[in-house]
Amino acid sequence: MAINPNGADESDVVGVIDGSVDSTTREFAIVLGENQVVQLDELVVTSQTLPDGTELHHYGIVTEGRNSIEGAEFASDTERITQGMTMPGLMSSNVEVSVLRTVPELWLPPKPGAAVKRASGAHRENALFLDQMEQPLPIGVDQSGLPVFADFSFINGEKGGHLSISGISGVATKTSFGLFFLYMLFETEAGRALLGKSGPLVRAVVFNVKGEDLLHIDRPNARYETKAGAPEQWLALGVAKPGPFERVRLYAPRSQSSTAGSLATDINSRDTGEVVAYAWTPQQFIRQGLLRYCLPEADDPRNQLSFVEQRVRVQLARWAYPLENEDGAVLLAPPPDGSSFNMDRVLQEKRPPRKADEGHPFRSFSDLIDFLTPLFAPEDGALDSHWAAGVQMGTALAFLRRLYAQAPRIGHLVAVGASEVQLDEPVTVVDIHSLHDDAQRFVVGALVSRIFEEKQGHGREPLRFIVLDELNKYAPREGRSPIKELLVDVAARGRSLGVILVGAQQSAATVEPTVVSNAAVSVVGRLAAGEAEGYKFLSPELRERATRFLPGLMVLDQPLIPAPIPIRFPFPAFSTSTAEDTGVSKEVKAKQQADAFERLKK
Amino acid sequence: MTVYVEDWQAAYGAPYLVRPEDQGAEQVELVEDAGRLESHRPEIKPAFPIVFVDGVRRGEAALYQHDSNTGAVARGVAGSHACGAVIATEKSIEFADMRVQRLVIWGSGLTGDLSDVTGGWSWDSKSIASTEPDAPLMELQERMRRAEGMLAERMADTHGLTIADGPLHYVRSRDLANPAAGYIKTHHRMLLRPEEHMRIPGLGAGERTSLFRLRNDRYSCYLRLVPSSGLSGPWAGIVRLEVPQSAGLKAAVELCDRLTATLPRFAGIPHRDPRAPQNLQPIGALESHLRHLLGHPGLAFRAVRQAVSSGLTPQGVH
Repeated sequence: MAINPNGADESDVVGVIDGSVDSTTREFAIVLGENQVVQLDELVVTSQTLPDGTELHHYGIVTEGRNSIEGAEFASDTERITQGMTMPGLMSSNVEVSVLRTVPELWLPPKPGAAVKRASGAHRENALFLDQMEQPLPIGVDQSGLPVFADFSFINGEKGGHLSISGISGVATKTSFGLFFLYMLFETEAGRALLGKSGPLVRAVVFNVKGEDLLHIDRPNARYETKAGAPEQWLALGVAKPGPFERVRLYAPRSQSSTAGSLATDINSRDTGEVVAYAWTPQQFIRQGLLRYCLPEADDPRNQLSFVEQRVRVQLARWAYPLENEDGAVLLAPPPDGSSFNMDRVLQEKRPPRKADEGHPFRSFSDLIDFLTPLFAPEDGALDSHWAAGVQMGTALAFLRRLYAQAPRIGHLVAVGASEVQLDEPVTVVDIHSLHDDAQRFVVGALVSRIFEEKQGHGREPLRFIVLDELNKYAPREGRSPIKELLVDVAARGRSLGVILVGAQQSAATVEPTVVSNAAVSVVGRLAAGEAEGYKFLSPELRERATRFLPGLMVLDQPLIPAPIPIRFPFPAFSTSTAEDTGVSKEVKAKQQADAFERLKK
Repeated sequence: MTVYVEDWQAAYGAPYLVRPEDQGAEQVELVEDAGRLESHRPEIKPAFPIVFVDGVRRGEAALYQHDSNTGAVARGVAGSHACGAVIATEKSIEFADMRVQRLVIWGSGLTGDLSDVTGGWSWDSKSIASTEPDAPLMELQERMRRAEGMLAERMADTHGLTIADGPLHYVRSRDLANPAAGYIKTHHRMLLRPEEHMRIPGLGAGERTSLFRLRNDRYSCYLRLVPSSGLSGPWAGIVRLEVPQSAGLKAAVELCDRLTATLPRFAGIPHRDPRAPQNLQPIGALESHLRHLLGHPGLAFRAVRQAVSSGLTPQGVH
C-alpha cells in the first residue's frame, strides 16, 4: 500500500512534536492539539521532508501522557485558574512517544513542530513492522482493538526460537497466554498455515501445575458468554468462532495410592475414561536412564553422587533382561560376558526374556531399592566397585538415602503395565500438579529429554512445543541439576531441533539466564514491584505500569520491533479451570463422537 | 509614628510616591456626594465579561551610529513590545489577541534597517528626531502604550468592559460600544486636597471613594482591593480608577460601582506577585505570558549582533 501522508485525512492530526524538549532517534514528545485525546500505547506517525526531498516517517508508540497548566507556578494557582477564574492559564497536554521505526531507515530524529497523526492503515502496519514479518501470527490486540502480530519465524527456530512468559501468579496470565498462543497456532487457519506441511505432525506438551485447571481445555468455557468484548477481540485476530481445543489428550500421573497393576489417577474433575494415567515401566525407566532425574541435586559438584548415579544408570542397563511374560518388567541379573559399559551399545543388545527366579525382578520402585540396598550398604562393609564407582561409604549411603527419600515421591510413577506419555494428539496436557516437587522434576525431565532425544537428527520440523510453567523450579538461576542442564540444552539447541520451549515464570531473575535469554520473544504480564526492575527491555514507564496490569494485558517484546508493545489477548473460549467447565452440550458431544468415528475410518 | 513594611518587593519600588510638599492638583474637584469625600460599598454583582489589557516592552540591544569624521554619536535601540488581553467571564478566563512587535528605533533622525536573521527575527525600522540618549527607548515605551491603548479600544468595542493597565489617556476614542477604564497602581501625586487625601487610606476592602473630576476628560476614584494587614502601610492595596467623562456622570458612577464590585476578586496574590495586591492576577499572568512571547532575551541580543554584522559585510563578498 502506498503511503501518502500529505493525502491523509488532516483530522488524524493529534498534535505537533514538542520543541521545548529534545526529540531524539529514540523518543519525542507531542503537544496535543485542543480537544485531542491520546492514550498510552496508541501508535502515531510523523513525517518530514529531508533537504534532499526524501520523505521520512517516524513511527512511535505513546508511552506516557501528562497534563499541566502553563502559567501555574504554585499548586494554589490551579484553583485560581480553573475554579475561581481569576487567573488565566494554558492547559497543556503532552504525551511521550517511543520511536518504533523510521522509514526509510535513516538514523535521524523527528522534527520539532512537525504534525503527528494517529498511525492507521498502512502506517499502522509499518509501525508494527508487518511488512517485514515473514510469518505474522496474530498474538493479541492493541489499545484500539486491532491485531498485533509476532513474527513466528522468531519463535519456530528459523530465525529465533522459544517464547518466554513472565508475570506473577494468581493473575492467571502466564498459563492463559501460553494456551492462547497454542490455540492461535493449532486451532486457527492462520496458525495452521504457519505450521506448514508438517502441521499435522506438530505436537505440544502442556504441563499442568495448578489444580486440575488445564485438564479442561477441550471443553467450552462457560464464562465466555459473559465476557463482553471477547468475541470482538477474537474476531480481530481472525477467529470467528473460538471454541475449545479440538484434539487434546489428557494425562495424569498414576495415583500414589494405586496398588500394583492398577493404573488409576487422582483426577476428580474428569471422567476416568477421559484422562490417561501415565507412569514408566521399569524397562523404560532403565532404558531412558531416568534414574538421572530421580536425584535432583546429583550434578552438584560438591558431592560425588553424580558418579554413583551415572555408574548405577549404566549398570542397571547392563543388568537388565526382559522379564518373561511380564511386559515392561525387568529382571536384574549379571550381564553377559563382554557387555559394554557404553549405554548406547548396551541398549542395542537384543536380550532374550528370562524367568523371575533367575535374578532380581524389578516390577516397582521398591524392587529397585531392594536390589540396590545390599549393594550400597553391604553387611560386610565392602562396597561392590562395579556399582559404587569407587566412592567412599559415606557417598554410597548418601546415594541410598536420597533414593529412599524419593521412593514415596516418585515410586508410583514406575510400574509394570504403565504407559508413558505419548504425543498422539496435537496437544497433550500432562498433569503434574499433585506431585511432589521432585516428582514434578522427574516427570518433566523424563518427558522433555525423550522429546528432545527423539528430535535429534530429524530436522527442525515437525515442531515440538513444550509449555512449562514455574521454570524457576526446573532451571533455577543458582545450582546445577540434570533437569537444568537439559533445559539449558533445549534453550540453546532446541531452536535448530524444532523443540520450542514456551516457558513461564514469576520472575525471569529467578531462572537460569541462558534459558531466558535464548527466548527470542518475550511476553510480560503483571510483575511484582520488586521484580519489575529486572526487565531491562521494558521502558521505565512500562516497568512501573506492569505492576498494575490487569489480567489479559501483557507486553510483547520481539526482535523485529525495538520497543515493547502492550497487547491484550481475548478471554478464552476454552476452559482454563474446573469452574469454567460445565460440561459439553449434547449436540457437541454427538458431533465429537461422530468426528472420532470419522477419524477412525481414516 | 508607626512603622510599616511596604507590601511590594523592594526591587519594584513603592506604589505610594507622593512627596510631602505636594499640596494637591488643580482642576480636580469632587463631583459626587455634594462635594464631600465619602466611601461607597456597592452591593451589586460583579460585571462580566471583563477584559484586562496590558503590554510589556524590552530593549534588547543598544545601537550606535558613529561618524568618524565628526565624532558624532547617534543612538538607537533594538527591542520589542507585546500587548494582549485577558477575557474573563463568569465561566472562563483566557488569553486573547496577543501581538508582538520587534523594532529598531534610531534617534537623531537617522534610519537604518536590520536584515532578517534566521529563527524568525526581523525588525521594523523607525526614527525619532531627539538626540537624547534614552529617547529611542522612551519611544519604544510610547509605542507599547499606544498599541495597548488601541487594543483596549478594540476590546471595549468587541468584547465588553475593558481595563487598561495605567492611565486612560492612550485610549483616544470616547465612543466605544463598552466603556474602557484606566487602572493605576502607583500614586505619584496628591490629587485631592490634603485633608481629603489623608482620609483615603480609611477605605475598607471593596470600598471606593466618591468620584472626582480629573481635568476635562476623566472622572476618577480610589478603591481599596483588600483589607490592610496591620503590617502594611496605610496605602497598601489602594488603586485609582479612571473612567471617561463622555458618557456622563451617572454612567461614570455606575461604572465605578461595577468595577469596585468586580476588581477585588482579581487582586494579586502576595507570594506569587511582587506587586500584589495592586497588580491584578490576570495582569500579572498576562505580563509573564507576554514577556515569554518576546522570545529569549539572549537569543534576541545575538540576533541583533548577527543582523548588524551581516549588514556590514561588503556586498558581493561571501
